[in-house]
Amino acid sequence: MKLFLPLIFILFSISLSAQVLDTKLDGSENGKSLESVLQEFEAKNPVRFYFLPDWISSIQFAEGFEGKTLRTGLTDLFLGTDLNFVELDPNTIVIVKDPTMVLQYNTTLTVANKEQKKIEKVTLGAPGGTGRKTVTFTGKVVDSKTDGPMVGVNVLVNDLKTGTITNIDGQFELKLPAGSHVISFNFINYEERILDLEIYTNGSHDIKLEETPMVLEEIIVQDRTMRDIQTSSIGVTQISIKEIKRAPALLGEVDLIKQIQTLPGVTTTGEAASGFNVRGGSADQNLIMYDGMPVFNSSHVFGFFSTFNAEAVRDVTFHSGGIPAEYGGRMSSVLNIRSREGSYEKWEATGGIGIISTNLAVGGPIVKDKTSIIVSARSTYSDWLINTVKSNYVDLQNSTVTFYDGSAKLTHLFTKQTKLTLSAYVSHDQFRLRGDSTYRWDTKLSTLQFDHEFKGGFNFGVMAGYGSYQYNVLDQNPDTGFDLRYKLEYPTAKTHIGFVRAGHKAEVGFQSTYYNFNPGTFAPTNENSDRKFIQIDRQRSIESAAYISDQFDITKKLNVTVGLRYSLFDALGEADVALYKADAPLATFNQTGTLHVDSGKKIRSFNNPEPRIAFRYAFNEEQSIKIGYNRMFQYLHLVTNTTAITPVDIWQPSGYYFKPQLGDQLSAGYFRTFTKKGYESFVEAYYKTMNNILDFKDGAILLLNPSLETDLLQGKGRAYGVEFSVKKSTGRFIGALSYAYSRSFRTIIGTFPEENINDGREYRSNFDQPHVVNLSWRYNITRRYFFTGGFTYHTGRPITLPLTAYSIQNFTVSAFSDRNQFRIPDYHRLDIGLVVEGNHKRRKILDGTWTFSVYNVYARRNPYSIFFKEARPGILRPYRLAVIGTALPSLSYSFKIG
Amino acid sequence: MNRSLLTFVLLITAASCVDRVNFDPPLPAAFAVVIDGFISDQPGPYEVRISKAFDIQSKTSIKQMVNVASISISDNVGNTEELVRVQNGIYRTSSNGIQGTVGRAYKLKIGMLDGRVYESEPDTLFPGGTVDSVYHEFVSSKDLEGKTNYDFDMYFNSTTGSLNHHTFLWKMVGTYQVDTNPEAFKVSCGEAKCPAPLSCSSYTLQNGQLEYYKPCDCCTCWVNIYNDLPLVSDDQLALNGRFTKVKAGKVPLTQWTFMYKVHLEIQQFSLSPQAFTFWRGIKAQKMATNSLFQPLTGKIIGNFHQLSGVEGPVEGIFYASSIKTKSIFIQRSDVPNEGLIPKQSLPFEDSCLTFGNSTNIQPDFWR
Repeated sequence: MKLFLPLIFILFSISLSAQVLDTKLDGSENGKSLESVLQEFEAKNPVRFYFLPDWISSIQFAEGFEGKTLRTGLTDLFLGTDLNFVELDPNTIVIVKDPTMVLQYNTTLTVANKEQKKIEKVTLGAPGGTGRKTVTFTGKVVDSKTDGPMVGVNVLVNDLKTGTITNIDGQFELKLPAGSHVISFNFINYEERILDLEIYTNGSHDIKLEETPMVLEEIIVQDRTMRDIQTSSIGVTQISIKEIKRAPALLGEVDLIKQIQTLPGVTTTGEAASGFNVRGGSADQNLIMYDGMPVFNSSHVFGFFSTFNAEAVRDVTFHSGGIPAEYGGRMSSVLNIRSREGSYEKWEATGGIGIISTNLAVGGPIVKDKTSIIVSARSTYSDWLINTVKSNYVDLQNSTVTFYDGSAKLTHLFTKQTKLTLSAYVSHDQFRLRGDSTYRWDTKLSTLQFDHEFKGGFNFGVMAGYGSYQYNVLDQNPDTGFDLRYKLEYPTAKTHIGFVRAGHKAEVGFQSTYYNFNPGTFAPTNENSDRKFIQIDRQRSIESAAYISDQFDITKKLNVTVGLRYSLFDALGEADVALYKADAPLATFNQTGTLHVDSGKKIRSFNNPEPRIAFRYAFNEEQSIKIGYNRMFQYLHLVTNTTAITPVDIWQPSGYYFKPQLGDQLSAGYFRTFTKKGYESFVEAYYKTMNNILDFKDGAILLLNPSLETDLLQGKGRAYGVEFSVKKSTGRFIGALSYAYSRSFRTIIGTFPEENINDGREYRSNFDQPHVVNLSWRYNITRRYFFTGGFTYHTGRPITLPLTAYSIQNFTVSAFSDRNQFRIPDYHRLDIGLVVEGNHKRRKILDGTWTFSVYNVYARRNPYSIFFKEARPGILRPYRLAVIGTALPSLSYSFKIG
Repeated sequence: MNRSLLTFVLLITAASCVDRVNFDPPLPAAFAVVIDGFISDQPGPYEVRISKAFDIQSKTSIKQMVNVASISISDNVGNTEELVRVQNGIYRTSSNGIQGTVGRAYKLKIGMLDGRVYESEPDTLFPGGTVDSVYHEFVSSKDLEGKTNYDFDMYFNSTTGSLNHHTFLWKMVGTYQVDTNPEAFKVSCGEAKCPAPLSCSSYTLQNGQLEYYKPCDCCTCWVNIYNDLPLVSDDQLALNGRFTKVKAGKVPLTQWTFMYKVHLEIQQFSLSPQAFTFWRGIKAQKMATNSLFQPLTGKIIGNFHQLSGVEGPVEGIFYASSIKTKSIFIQRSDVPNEGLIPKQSLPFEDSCLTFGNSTNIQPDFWR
């Protein structure tokens, strides 16, 4: 009741007339404190102001009040503070203070003290200093061990019930009324920090968060809480590396991509299939970035494992909707992976031993507090295992499965604000089954990045990088031996300037990538081989983009992010472009000649604006709605006639015949947290249209095809769906349940009948999986023992089946159904695990964790591939290859030294 | 140590499995009429076969031939010839009737018994070029069990005849003679095997003894072997209108193929674009079979459309082609070491007609 007393006074006072309050200010008050101005009013007029001097000691008049009444002036000055004024009568004015904020402030500090949380007292400025009514508090949150910026940290102003999250550079900005506030900094698996802040001027203070040595209560796999409520970003997920490590995994291999596949709206085409599909898009529509460089194949062993060693990864951000203007070049999603920096303070090592591979990351200071390095490596011993076993099974003896990946990062701090980073990454696979062809594929990435933070909230970054992806199929057969090589090189340069100030978080940047494709070299491996040398013409292109974006509050409740990306793509010569008859289908037999384009000349250019916009309206600190729209152009196409990514797929740049793919996505969501009960939930709906998406003609032959345009078709697609998620993130039992209903369709109508698919009717895309359910949980048996698990279900993907057969001359052939008319069996799987962590003593040399897990508990034979074998010549029968056809136990040990 | 390693590996390898999946798709409302025929620049008669597609799930794939009410071939200069039924579903032109001519377009029109009428798109007969040479290379290879196998890889060189036209279909037809002993055929009689010479053999059983009574009809046959895949031309193999060292197929070295010698013929069919697309589709389907990565092969687009009657599906092609051939014999002496030819340990006590694609009529070229 006491809290409402001032309000009653205020309402009461409105009915009173007041001559003094209507007195116009003459400008003489500029620069004076409010207290002194009020005293001057008392001296000149029969009026008394009642107030406590401490309350208004930080307030003074700035310019711009001249001509306003005292009433307006006081209203302006008190805006955003807990102060107000009441006219008891025309000559008596009382300045009152709403005690809510003070009570909240005191309560928060009391609770924090009781819970023995770390509280840091910080004072910026002094009462009566500049006296501004609102001040800007900025800072940067870093990991206490690595000094690396921490993205996605929840920054909550407890007394005001507002907050924000740190950006990708770990920075945050808050607008606060001058005075005292309690600010908490939270991040999963890190100890909470409390800041007892007394602030009277714009100021900055950096925070170091310390990784918790014991299990926190609030452990969440996907941290969307504060981000979902507080920002206008929609469809963004921050992945916790620590939680990925605790989840049951195939053969104990920690896998980022598999974790992405459990998110709402994300599916996979089969067990252990490479890549993932987002909201009805194909796998090539996902931009996977590692330290700012695109990754073109993220799989080891055809998709069994991802190529990213979790020990080397700092954070993972996944965008499935509302994609920031900074990103482009893919239509469906962005998976941004940033590698760890070595500690600037001490040397440490982390690693793991599993039944398939071992990984190790070692890092530390070269020059303490100045230069750090971290090197990580992972390698399998599956090949050694296979070759060690004495077996009469020829297939096994002639098989090989080898992979490794490694990364290194060298960071030098010139000052606290200036950093130079050199990063390198390599991934290699070699696979041979049954002694015929050997598949090898390699990814190499390297970047040099310079970052600098200017005063006043500006930051600047520039990056130069080189990437390459190549594969090679080697057949050593003396009669048919061949060596097929494909290579893509892509040097890249990027720069950006960021600005975090005055309620705006803006960024402007430029990026450019040069692509050099060798689409295929096919050569005999020996003199007796009957294979002929084939060299498909090289392709060159440049993709560039400039972008600008800003995120700001329109009102306290309404936040907006706007962005514009302008992309340019040039397909360059030298090339001989095939020309075809205008009145006939594109086919090699309709070729009329070639168009020669000289080296460096443009074959075709594209330039396209890509607007992005997202709104968030927060009803309160627990509820918000969002609407987002983004347009994306994709200039590189994955040419494949399989549903999953394979190592021998071809990336084809847009050019004379292939138009860039265009995607428009509108998404809307409602986000709700139940803070006291520890629940978080959201529902998101989307509608996506796609243009110029590729599909293949019936009977297409894609490998080493110099005239791909004759075997591929471009058409339209659409996808829509709704995603639900509810998550319990506190208590001994935590878990998440999500369901997505999503549909995805294609329509290919060409100029000629043979350029239609399914006679031009709309058909289900390869990734149309209407129902997807994911459930994950963790139960803390004790502080060191956790029972974890996950269940996943999705509708089987569409498939084209042979229905009848017939004979033509000496050949029996199968007649297929309409494209994607049927579905493969539904996919579902249950995994469980037991995690045993080491003791939780803060100071210990070795910290180890055992993970025992069972993948596919009830031995479901989920297909990796449905393929066709001949029962008799020409009579095809569908077969299912279930690569994990049984319950698969595994044991792994991970450790941390230092 | 090895024992524990084996456990690990078995855990990995035993985890995978391949099994049949039964989708049980509904049967199509109607099985397609399948039309298979061509006309060439070689003298007739030409044959057109009409059958029905069959359920791919059925365990027997017996082709059901279909009789029609009318069937005719016509060209674009006004010639038409009605075909005559010679067997169920098999229709022929007369031997001195219509013959393909380069540059003309041909189409086939069929009237079904139920009133439906199908017609093919006109197919132009392109020049056939020449098959310049056919040759072979003797090769050995090891199978997955480590056993060595020997084959003759067959190659040819050919010319397109026109720099602007290089869509071709090649067929390899190998022929070899086999001798069998059907007079030694036996049947079970109790626990033993009793002589029961086949009636097509030269002998009959009289009082438990074999007695000659007529010339044998199934002792000597000529067996044809074909290439597994339709061999269609690849632009990358054509250089200045020539195809060089194109691999046509292989002739395995077995006890049967080289009893005497092997006749091998390469047939070069010129194809129109639509016929080329059809045969390329068949090739793509054949090549995709058994691929783990599941290349999705779709429909094979024929060149028939329906003119009238109740709508019913149709598959197949009628095309026009110029055919050029070249043949050679591969003799036993071409095998580097005759000792490599497997010996027949026991006589084959059955009809030689049990060999697939065999005939007891001696081909002209064999004489």
